[in-house]
Amino acid sequence: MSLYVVLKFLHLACVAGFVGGLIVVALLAGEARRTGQPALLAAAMRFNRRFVSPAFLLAVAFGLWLATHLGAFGDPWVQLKLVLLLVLGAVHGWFSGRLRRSSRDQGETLESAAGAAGFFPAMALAFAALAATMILLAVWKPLW
Amino acid sequence: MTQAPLSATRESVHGSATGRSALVVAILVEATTLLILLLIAVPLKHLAGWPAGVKIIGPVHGAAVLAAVYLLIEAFAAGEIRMRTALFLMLGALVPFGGYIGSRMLARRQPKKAGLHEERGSESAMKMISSAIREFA
Repeated sequence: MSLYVVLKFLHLACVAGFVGGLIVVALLAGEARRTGQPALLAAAMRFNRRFVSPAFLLAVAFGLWLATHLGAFGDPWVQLKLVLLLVLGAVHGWFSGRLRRSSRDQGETLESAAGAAGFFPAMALAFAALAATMILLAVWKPLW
Repeated sequence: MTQAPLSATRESVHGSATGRSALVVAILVEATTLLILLLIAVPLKHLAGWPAGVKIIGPVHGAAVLAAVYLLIEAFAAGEIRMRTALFLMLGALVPFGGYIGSRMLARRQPKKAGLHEERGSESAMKMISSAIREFA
């Protein structure tokens, strides 16, 4: 098995773990806010910190290694993916911060929590859309 | 509809302190790699013709900047620092020694338990670093 195949497999496995994990965390957090269950929110936070964030870092590391191995850093689709990666990283940072804030807030009522519950599923959609665009670029490899 | 409070869990409080410690550490690492880059690697490249230092420390500094910006966004979204503080820390990271001033300022400020405001505290940068190391060890 060539290094290219191994790197591609590891990159894709980490991307799948990251995107899937994020959607799970977002839906769990939304449900926890809607039903007012702090324990569920804490579990979502724990899963985000122990599984989703490491998967994100590993996906980036293997992706950069793969691009270096292929000598593809100059390709437009790789550069566009890097820009989207920065956006995805910023959105994930914002998401993790909001998760921490939700978990920390005290004295919040179920009613206001339910109002904020839509934020996390909306974030799940944003992550899925960003990831789908990046996957499309990787498969299509447009050169313009 | 019955209104019941959402109580904060031990996990949430712990996570908040760890996040701020990680931000202080990331800013210190960013400031240190910037100094190594500017004071050692760049002079070695241009005066001694040794570019390997820049090739090694350049990407390390880039990764440190990205990690610091990520944690800054996270802390802002968590309501642990104000927009003004976030901008000050981000601009400070561009200037040599600015990160040291920023991390010291951050270590001295304690976030309130709820809400968007931060207030002055007495926790030192060293205490926050040891707290972050204990968490990640």
